[in-house]
Amino acid sequence: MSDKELSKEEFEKLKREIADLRERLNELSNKLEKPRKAAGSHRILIDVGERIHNYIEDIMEDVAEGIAGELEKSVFIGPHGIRVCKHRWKPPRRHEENEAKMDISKAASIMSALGSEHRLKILRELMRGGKYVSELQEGLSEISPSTLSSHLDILEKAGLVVQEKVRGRYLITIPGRMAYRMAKKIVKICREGVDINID
Amino acid sequence: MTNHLEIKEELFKLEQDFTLFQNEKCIVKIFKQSFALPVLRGDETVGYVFHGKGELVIDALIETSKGTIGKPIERLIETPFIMIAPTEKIKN
Repeated sequence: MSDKELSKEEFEKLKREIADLRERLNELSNKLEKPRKAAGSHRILIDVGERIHNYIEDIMEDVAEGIAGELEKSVFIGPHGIRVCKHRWKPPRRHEENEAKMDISKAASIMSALGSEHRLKILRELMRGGKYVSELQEGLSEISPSTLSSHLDILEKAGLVVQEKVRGRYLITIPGRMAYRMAKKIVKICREGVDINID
Repeated sequence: MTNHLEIKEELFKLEQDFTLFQNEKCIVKIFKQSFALPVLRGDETVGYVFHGKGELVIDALIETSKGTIGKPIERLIETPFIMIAPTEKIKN
């Protein structure tokens, strides 16, 4: 019984304690409610703000990376100033790489065609206008007719000269003119000893 | 004069190569063993229909101040073609 009475007392005591606690809790919750509302709204704003901030920061980082990449691809800063490429840069495709390889062999054939004093003299003659073989022979008397014919074949195969099929004249092509000028420029640079900064 | 063209039923066989047309940029040739049929306008022979082998050469080249552009073209003619032009040599 005493246990029951004690337990009753205890129960009452506990009841009171619970009531006290409830009151305290209510008080605390009343106290916290106002600031919580204010802080809550503020906290929400901060949370959203942080998210937006992070989101914007991510976007800006991506945009900045993109701009930096595009600038790297299209703006060239060299010794003669800044050059902006108007066309969008595209990564080289496989067939373009093959074409580049082909260009090297073509370049080698052109350089090989240029690698003769006689052939350069022929190009120089043709720079003045289209000529028949006989006219070329007159201007280049030191070259035998058969050698002249062989040189003209090499120049034609390299695409530096072209022969008319009807009249038979030899004409210098646009690449031929450019190649002759390039050879002339290289000689000039070598003679003058101009310093070229490869970097 | 009538504008009506017709092919005469008279066949010629070429015994030698003929240059049918030539200027500074173009040559049209027809080779021997080819056949020619006269094209008539009224009683006048105004051209020929050719059947056999021939050659067309065109210098498709343009000289510019920066160099020559283009290339010569050579084609073998193997299909029949009509040429409306005076070609008295063929009759002879």
